[in-house]
Amino acid sequence: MKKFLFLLFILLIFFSFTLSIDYPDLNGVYSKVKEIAKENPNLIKLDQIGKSKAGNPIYVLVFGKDVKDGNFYPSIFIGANFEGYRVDGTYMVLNLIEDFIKNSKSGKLSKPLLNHKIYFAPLLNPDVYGNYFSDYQKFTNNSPVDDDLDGAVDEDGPEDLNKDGYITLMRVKDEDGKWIVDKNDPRIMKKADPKKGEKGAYKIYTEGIDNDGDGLINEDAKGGVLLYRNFPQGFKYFNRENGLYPTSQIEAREFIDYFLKHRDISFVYLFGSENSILANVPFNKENLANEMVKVPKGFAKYLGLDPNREYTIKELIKIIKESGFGRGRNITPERIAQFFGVSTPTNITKVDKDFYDGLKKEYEKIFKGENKREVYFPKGGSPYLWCYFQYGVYSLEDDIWSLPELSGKEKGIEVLSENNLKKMKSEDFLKLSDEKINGELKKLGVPPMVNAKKLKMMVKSGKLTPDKIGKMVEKFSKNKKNSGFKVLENKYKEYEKYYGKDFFIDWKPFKHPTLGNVEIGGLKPYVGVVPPVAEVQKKVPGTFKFIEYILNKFKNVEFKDVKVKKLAECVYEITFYVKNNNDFPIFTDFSSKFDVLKPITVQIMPSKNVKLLSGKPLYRINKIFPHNESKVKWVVSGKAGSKVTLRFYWNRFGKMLKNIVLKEEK
Amino acid sequence: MNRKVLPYIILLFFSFTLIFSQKVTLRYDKYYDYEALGKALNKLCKLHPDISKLEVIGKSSQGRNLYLVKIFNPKTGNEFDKTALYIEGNIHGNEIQATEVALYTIDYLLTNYHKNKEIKNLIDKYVFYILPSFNIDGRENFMHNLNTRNSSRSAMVKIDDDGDGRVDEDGYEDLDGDGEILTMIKKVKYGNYVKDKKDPRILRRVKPGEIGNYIILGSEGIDNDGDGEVNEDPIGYLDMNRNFGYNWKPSYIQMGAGKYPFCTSELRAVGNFLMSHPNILVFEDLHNYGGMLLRGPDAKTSPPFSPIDKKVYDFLGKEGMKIIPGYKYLVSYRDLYNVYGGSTDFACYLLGEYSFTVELYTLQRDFNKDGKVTDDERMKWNDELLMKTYFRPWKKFKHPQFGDIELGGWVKMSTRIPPGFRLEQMCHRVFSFFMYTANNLPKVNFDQVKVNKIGNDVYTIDFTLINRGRIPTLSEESINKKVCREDMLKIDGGKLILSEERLERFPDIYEKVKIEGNRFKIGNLLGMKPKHFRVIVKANKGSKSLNLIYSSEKGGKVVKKIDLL
Repeated sequence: MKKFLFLLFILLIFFSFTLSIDYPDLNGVYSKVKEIAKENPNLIKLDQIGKSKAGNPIYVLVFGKDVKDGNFYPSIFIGANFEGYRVDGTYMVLNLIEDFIKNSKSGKLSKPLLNHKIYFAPLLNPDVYGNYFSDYQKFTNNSPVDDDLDGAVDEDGPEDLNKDGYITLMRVKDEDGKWIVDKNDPRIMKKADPKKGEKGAYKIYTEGIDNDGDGLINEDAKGGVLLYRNFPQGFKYFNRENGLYPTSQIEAREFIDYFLKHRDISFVYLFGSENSILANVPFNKENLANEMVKVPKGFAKYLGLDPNREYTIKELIKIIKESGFGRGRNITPERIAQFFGVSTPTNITKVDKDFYDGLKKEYEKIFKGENKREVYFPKGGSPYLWCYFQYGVYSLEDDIWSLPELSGKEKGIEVLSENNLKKMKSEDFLKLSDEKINGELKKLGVPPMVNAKKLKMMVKSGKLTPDKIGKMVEKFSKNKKNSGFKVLENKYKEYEKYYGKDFFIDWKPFKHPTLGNVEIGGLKPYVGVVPPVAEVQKKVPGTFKFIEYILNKFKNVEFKDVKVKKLAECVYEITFYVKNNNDFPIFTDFSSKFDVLKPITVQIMPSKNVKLLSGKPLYRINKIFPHNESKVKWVVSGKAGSKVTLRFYWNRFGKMLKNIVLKEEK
Repeated sequence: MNRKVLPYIILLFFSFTLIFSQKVTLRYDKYYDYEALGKALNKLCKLHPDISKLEVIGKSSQGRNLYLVKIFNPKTGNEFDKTALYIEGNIHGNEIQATEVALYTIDYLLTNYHKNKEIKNLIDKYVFYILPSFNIDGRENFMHNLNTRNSSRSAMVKIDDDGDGRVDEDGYEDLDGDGEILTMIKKVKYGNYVKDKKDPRILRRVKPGEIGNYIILGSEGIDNDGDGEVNEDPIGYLDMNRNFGYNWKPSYIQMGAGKYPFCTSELRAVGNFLMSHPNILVFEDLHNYGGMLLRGPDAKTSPPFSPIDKKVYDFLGKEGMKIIPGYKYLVSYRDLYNVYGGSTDFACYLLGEYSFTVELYTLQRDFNKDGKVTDDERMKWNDELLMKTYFRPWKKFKHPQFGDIELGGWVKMSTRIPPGFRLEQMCHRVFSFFMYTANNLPKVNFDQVKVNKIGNDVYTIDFTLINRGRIPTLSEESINKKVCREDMLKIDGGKLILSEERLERFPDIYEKVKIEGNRFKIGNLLGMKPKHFRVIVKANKGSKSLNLIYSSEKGGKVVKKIDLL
């Protein structure tokens, strides 16, 4: 008997090992990180961004070393999982590190990376990581929030009542309910549509009881805040899940502090829940200079302007420059527009869009075989947006995996699908029934101001073609989460494909202490949210290739070249060159416009017997295109052999002094 | 004499002498530096331990104590069960008179508690939180070091303003050693200024058709780092009133914004204090100058106020204009400029407080009352009221970089800060505005209570809730945006079965209010606008009374004992 038990034990261990080709838990991630650092002391340095609220360290593995040869070598930051529950991102980064190490050791990297640092941060929100391994799908951290505004905090969360190991849903028959059961798939609950004569028959709750006796179930669960909505760019106020104010969460502040300390970071690649590569934020092409603005009274008085009149931004730039206000600052139309409260920069610029489009092309080439899938562009408060808009570098966010995008038909869209409209003639569009068009527009979630009547009018006048409408609809449906009826039926089929038959816990009766007879069931936690590990594994090689492609754009910025030209006896021209050898602009176009990144400063410091004849003592450079150079010129007078020092400073690089002797260039 | 009374008389005598001997007499014709302020606050609070508490809520960037005084009477109720008025001053280091206004307010409240019934009532009913100097480092630097009229506004943190890798390397210098940072002007052949013929101290811009012979070089100093700019990187610059968490914008949009909200130790301390004191209903931020009572929005991009909230600001602002003559009630973004990340917008939008910015001090130099202040009038002010101490006449100086220049002009204390003889009156008037505000804070009471027995232990209770202050218990916006918890009514001592609110009178129409356990949410109580409720309650078996409890995040707590029939 004992022997048998022992055997069983061994068998159990064996099985648990074979089954454990799954995401590592928090301890697993930490030990992996430490192991990588320990085994590769020559390649990798273990660094720490900080500690989470709960005290979990946030690690960075830094690949590569500082090179001090007078050139600036841009670095890339590869980070994952501000979501916390997106364990696939963490898994991806851990795999990428190992691949980089392997390929670096075997010399298989397409280009030696010695000069560039790569910061790998596999887990940026450790406090939420454990959520994935719990019984309950929860996206927020544990920062206390009074969700129901009753003065008590986190007092009523869910419970696993039927002890099946998961917190799912409860449905209870109730004539005041708004839900009905889907005829084709009885697992699916759907909101009744009274216009179709449907009448609600169920109420739905998350599994649990009314802990605080206020008549509401699970209305104030533990936590919290979504860290990936807590960054300042585009932060949405008045939504408890985003936090009270931007960077209210310590992890966000530590991340920003780390980036400000490591100014060499010139490119950011984040793994998260949104995809900026395939669906980037909108870009701006309008010309702000012609926009009209009013000047506030106090400021108008200072500038001698009329507060009741509107001025173009072009005019204001001239007036403000003359007034001496904002001395030394780069006064651009964007700046002025901002100052007068016209527009907040939320769009990327056209130049930057073109750069991102190039990357998108490569990404699509690498993942050619993949189905078109559902992707969403990063929304307000995301760290990705902060990197581009407030840190001033190019950044990408990759969601790794999502369900294939459903075709229009699967979404219940027939006439308004892109395919259908592509071939359609204008006359045929006018013949479509208004009801049908309006119905489908509603399904797509298009705002009510766009309706069949308006579309038809525009088609009639030639302002729109069916083809254009198709494209608009396509674009719109991409950015809109669609959870209609048909969609769910089709989604469930996809879930089964990826997660196996038991992705759903079938509804089973249960006796609830206050609700009486209920049924408990629903999707298992994280189905459709976190991909099965096999799907991520499939994407590691392609992602590696894509990052290699990006790294191949990296070279350096040279500050070496200084030319001295004799113009006349005792008159010399000094030219200083800054050369950008990278395949990308060293300042994003957005940064050049707003000075998000501090400009390069070059200062001439003549010795006592040398006089500056022309040129400012200090110049600021904030724009250098790829493989281009920026020049600074001075004319000085002094005897041959006199000395001049050039002082060069850039916060991403540091300080450099260069001593020059005035003499004829050979 | 009755023997029993004698000891009391003796005790009374002693206590009088005790009070008189320990009285603090603070002067309000001078300015208090960090040390003097600490001493004054300590003395005041030590003398009145029953109604005041001096707290150090954190440290400044340079390690000084951040003092905050709490004034309330714990015997009349818990701090958090009372409405609070919050006053902060001197968030900008150079705007120093804000601290004296705050100190005067503390002083007046404490020393008059036993003397003045009005003051006693306010302290017994409400809570006052007063932070005299937010930017104590900036204050200390302004008072004791060389500054212009406008410098030392920032938090005293090291920032590389001009991005050249040198931090705070090019500040002001007192070149002639006269103890003031003056203005540098230079005589040139073609300039844009001339000296006035009658009064050569006055430098005026050229008129059309005129060629000048002077240019202004700026504040006294040299180009320390040889970059061609003078005084371009003094200590700072982080504007703490641009570093709060609402509508915060990065520094390429909002100068002085810092890297993210609440990024200095002062800001974190004050921010944490505000967020952990939800009982604050009114927020007063003291600045200088110009004589303005400013309400938000601070920026055009902040949403406009609801009409109900606007009315509250309007009556306070308009009354304030009467209490403090010469002050104007204005809207920040519209009448002044856009402020992103300001403290008042944070208090208003995210904490649901009615918030004012008070720009202290008007110079009163318009001698002929024509609505304009001319250069002559400015000089008259300097000559005849300040005995020529505010303006230094131009004198020749040899500048190491610019050669022959002239130094002169208005001194540090000349413009933004009242002279001693004007300070006390300003303190008292602004304090009076605070008292007017405090007098209008919510006063909630139960009224018209009627109990009816309808069954065994089952009662209907009709009652009215009335706020006799003009300020609502919560702002409309804070309810609309779900920033604050709505006021709640709770039954203690029975089970709440049904609750209704009366919507119309004659005929009476009631509507059901959703119950959450033993309580229900009732929104807010506007000033003088009663709300009528009817509840059906099953009292605990055989009990003779139960309690109706009104509790509000900002409007206080009122318990009404109901005797059952």
